[in-house]
Amino acid sequence: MIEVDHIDVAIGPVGILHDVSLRLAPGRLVTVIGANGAGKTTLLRTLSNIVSPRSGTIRFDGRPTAGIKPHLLARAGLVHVPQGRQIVPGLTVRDNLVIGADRAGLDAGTIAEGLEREFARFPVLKERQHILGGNLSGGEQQMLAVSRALMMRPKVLLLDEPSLGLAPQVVTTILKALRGLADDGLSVLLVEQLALLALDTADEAHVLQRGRVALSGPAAELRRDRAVIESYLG
Amino acid sequence: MTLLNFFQLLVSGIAMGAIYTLTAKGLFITHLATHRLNFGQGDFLMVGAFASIGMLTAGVPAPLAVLGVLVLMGVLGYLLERFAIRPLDRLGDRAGAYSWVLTTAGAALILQNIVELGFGKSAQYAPPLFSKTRDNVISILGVGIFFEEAAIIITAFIVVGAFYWFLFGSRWGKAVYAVAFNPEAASLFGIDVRGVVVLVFVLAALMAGISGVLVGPLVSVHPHMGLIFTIKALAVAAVGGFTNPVGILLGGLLFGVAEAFSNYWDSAFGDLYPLLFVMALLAVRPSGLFGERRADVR
Amino acid sequence: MPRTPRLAAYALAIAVIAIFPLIAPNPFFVHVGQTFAYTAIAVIGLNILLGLSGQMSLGHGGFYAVGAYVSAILATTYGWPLTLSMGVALAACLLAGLLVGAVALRTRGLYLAMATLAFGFIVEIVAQRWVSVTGGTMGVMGVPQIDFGNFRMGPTYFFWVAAGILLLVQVGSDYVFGSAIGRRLNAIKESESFAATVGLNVPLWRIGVFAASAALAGLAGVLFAHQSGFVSSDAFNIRLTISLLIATVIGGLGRSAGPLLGTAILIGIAEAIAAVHDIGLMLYGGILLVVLLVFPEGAIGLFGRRRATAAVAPEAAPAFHPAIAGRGRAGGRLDVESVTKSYAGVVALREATLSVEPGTVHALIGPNGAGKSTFINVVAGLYAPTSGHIRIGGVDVTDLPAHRRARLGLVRTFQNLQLIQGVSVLENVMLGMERRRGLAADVLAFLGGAGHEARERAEAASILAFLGIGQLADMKPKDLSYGHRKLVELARAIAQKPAILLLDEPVAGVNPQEAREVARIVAKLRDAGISVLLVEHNMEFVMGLADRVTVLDFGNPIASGTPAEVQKDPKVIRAYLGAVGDAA
Repeated sequence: MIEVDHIDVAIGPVGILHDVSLRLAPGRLVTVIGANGAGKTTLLRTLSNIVSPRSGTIRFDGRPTAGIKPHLLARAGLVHVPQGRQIVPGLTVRDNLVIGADRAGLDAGTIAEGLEREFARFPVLKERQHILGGNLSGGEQQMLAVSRALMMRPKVLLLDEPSLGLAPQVVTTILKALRGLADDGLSVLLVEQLALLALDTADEAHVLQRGRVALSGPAAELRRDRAVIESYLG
Repeated sequence: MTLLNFFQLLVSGIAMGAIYTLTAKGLFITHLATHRLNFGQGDFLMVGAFASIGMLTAGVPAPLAVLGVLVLMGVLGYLLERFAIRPLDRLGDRAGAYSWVLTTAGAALILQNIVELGFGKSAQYAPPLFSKTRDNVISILGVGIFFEEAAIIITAFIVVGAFYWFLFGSRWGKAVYAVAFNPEAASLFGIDVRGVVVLVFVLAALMAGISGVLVGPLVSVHPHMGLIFTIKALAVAAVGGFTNPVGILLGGLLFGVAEAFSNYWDSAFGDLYPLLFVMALLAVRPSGLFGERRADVR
Repeated sequence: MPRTPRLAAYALAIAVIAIFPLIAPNPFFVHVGQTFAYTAIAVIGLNILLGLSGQMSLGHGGFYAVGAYVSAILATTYGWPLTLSMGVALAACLLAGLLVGAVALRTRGLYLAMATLAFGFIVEIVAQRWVSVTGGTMGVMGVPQIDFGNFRMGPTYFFWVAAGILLLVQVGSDYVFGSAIGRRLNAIKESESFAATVGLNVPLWRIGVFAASAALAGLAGVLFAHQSGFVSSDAFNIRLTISLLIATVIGGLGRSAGPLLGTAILIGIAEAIAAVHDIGLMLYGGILLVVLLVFPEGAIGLFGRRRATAAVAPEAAPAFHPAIAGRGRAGGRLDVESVTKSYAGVVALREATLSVEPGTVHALIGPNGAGKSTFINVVAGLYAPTSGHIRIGGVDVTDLPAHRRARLGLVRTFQNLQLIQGVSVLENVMLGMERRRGLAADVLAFLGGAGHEARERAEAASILAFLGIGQLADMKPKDLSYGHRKLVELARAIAQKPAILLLDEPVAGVNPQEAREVARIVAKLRDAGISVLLVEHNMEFVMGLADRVTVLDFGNPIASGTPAEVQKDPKVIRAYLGAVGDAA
């Protein structure tokens, strides 16, 4: 679904990503792990065309994405759940859920179905659907962020550190949901700081170090690799 | 002051206050979505007033004239965004932080000059919109009130209601909130951020245009009247706290009424007192009368 | 660009001023020269306000009018001597500037633009309607002119006075741009938290520069009144403010020579469009748009970019030895006592307690979102804690603002780099230094030329050399790599002579060699007696450097001890890497 070939990304004069390549096949859950500042967030921002690569190509669903505006990519099914959840605080939970789907050209019936589906996935959202997004807890916001993306009927889901600031059991709930989505055929690219949790969830993994892919392989293999752990805890 | 006088001043104040509210709504929504606003908002109002005078005196029926003004203002709002706001984004760091203040003010000068060339520099009066003559008085509870004022108040409130529906009820209003919160995240939900920015500037121009149509029959109209309305609309938006759309409605009405009474007490400088009061208020309460959080208006 | 000694340039200017009225072909030229001189004074004030401090004013015409009216009325209606009336007029403008500036102090930006716009409008209306005092549109007539009683030579004398004052103001402006004042205004414009971090009282600076700028506009107005001998309300509408703004932006914002060029162009335009007066407004509006959107650097930008200030030759820089001596403190002790911080009901930090012993490195670690940034910002004084106390060397500083804490020797770096883009790397470091001389001595040194701030430059260069980046002194921060920027920020912090240093992720995003270099430097600073509180994710860095480590998770301290103890703590491993074997 996503093919990244040899991209270099710089912000101003500062190179952030160097010669990064990766593949995301349908129904796979791929994680990108790495320390702070390794370039994980920039990678996702590049995939969404918020920043443009200096060189290299990105394909989504077989077509190059160069020059396509972020909102059009999102409407086409490349949906990015940004870091920090970005729930619109002044809108209700329900409005937050619908806001993306409404833009993706889905009809009212599909949106209603989506709501039912997401309310079943995270029942707490159904309970709190009329509450303002800003009044949710961090965990509830993260669930809302994932559901908001799923409401858009994505083909590919990009997630930027869904664990950020969340209690372990909430993280587990969310990762479990992602695993289920991948098993149902969605392609998921998960950027995470909590390496071991991410490796336990993913099919494949890439370790990003200072803008380069340092290690790649099946997640279970990397899980056993001491080098991964050492790159974190020194 | 007689009771009769009191009511008449109250109604006049509410009429002007409703118009200030409308004008300020335009400032509010562009500031909400983009942290910028049109420092020529009052001049847009002036253009709306002259466009409506021009068409009404040329014999265009009132509903058509209003429609014409709306189309014209929408185009002006788009042009403002396209040529005075958007190019600044492309300059990035090279543009000063408040360049938009000067570019929108520059656009306002151009509008003043065009109207001056078309209508002359002298003051004009708009023909009444809703009745045959300007001094058509109706009696409500024994108090004589100008029909025109009453109709203007009703119209203004209908527009304010429509504005609230747009902001709180429509999908576009939700998009505005999303863009206001975080434009980059909004684009990730599929929202066309540039489209929303154009929309709010068009909307702001429409609010100014409607205000212009309504204010025509109430005050004398001249090409340099805009500045006063810009200042008062800014003051009203600031009293409302720039973040509180309901506060702006109350602030606008309070301002209009305060001005009407202040003018009654002191015909020379009466219109300045509410303005001075607002400035003093901002020094003490930077977030306005109704704002809750610390103001950080950039 | 050759470096002409300043005094020579100013001497040349004096000669030009002296000769110009004598060789001018006719009185019209002298008149234009006069107008240029006093208009440029107002534009210089606006340029410092907009260009250096980043504050907008749409009401400078109002200050100009206040200056003109006060002096004209006192001198004409009350017969005061000119020196007295002019002095009182200036004081009035200063006061008005303080009042208007105060409205916008706590709000900034948009409100300042609004308040100044309203001020200009109110002044115009009062001038128009308060006929008994101002004469309204009929004006005040017979205002005494500055001609020293000589009717024939009057215009020449006036020119000398106005141009002489302009020269003084320009020298002042050059000084502001070329000294610590300009650097600090740049810092305040770009980042208030940075400015507070280097010990600046931001509100005071803001209001001060606004009032000074208002006074310069008033000075121009005063001179205008005593040039023409006639002051009427027609002269002070919004168009006056717009003209001054046009001159400011068209000359080039934020460059000391911009206003002279801009004023000359403005007067040229005004003369040129007199013939097409009907479309004057349109031309002014169009010029504003075109300049701001097409030539944002203004006319002076066409003459090339601002030259970098010549640096001290590196070999002249003495070797730098970090020391806390001179502040009379032997290392600082920092105590954070059960500090809680919540935002709108969400607790970001709960009962955090931590002490940094003098001369040690104490690391604070924890996963993203654990509350580390909140912690640092509470300690530095950018956020007020909800409860708890912070003590520096035993003194409770919980209620002190950030800039006061900085002056006590509590110095920080920022995670998301706060470097001032408008000035060079060397000057970023110099921002950390206190002024060593009195203002008068500094101005004299500035006029003397190359030696101005030589010691400060040498010291800043030596700090950069100490960090191994001496060669970057003349570059702009935005042209540096991320790692180098981190080092520059560290250099700025060292220049502040810290007793306690807060390092917020000093090696995030830098390469391993650079990280080792930073570790070496921080160790040296500690050996010199500086206490360090370190927030960092790079465990190799933390474990190799820290004397003690505290681990935060969800705003709660979950472990504290030596690096070895903390590394083994199962709670820490769980927080950092995710629950082992706990996932689905």
